[in-house]
Amino acid sequence: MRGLRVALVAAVVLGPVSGYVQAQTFFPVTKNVFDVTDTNHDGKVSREEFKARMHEVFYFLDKNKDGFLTKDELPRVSDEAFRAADKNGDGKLTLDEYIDARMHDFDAADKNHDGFLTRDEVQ
Amino acid sequence: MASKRVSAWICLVMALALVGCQTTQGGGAGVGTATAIGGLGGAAAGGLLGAAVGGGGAGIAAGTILGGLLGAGVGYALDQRSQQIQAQTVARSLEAAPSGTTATWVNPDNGIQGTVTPVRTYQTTQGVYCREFEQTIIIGGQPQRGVGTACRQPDGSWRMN
Repeated sequence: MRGLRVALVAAVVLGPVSGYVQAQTFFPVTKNVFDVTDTNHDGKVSREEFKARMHEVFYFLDKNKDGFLTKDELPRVSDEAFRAADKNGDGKLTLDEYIDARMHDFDAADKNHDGFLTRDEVQ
Repeated sequence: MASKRVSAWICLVMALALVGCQTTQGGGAGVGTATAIGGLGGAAAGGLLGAAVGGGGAGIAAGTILGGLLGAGVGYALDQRSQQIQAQTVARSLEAAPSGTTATWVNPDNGIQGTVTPVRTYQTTQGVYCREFEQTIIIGGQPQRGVGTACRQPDGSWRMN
């Protein structure tokens, strides 16, 4: 029982610091996602389609094309969400860190957990 | 005979410059107002496309992208001006157009036209941005289609893979 309590406290205290727990949405998935992400036009967005799209979004967000995203390049992302996504805490997001954060957003939006986003599931 | 040898040399020089040559019916090298483009590993040798927008960019090695995309066994006439317009359109499209967006170009002098459509964007393990794209070039009503990949260089230009 004591071990469980310690684990819970550790998760709450260390989670946000270490970045292992992403408590909030990095950036909400909206209905716009269907415009360009549903590449096979089946009316839903798969994890693979979403991930491929996020690679491209990363490219366009990276204004100086240095291969990383800084907070300046993500003005609509909260500081808290940025810190949570920045796993190694170096103040910039690699492609992997960005993809991880966005896939978390995908999973959060995928309410029935079937691996696809439908229009009903996004804002 | 001498002119044939000169033509052959011109062809060789152009090949080294990543622009292929196509032998015409008369046996001379097809180098004139309409330059014939062949593969000759142009893309493999790494042609640079000057980035028309964004991070500046180097000059355009016109025709290299065509050599890589459409050259293998194809060979068709495309003049230098058309190559220039095409290369600028490809560079601009790769730099700024989302995948699935088709950019068109046309050479008003002769009506040769084409389209460029990025289809995928990714980053290499070295952190280099690359984009796959499809392109069509219509010459005399005949569409030539090809696909290719180009990677963004630090100076903002795009190099064919």
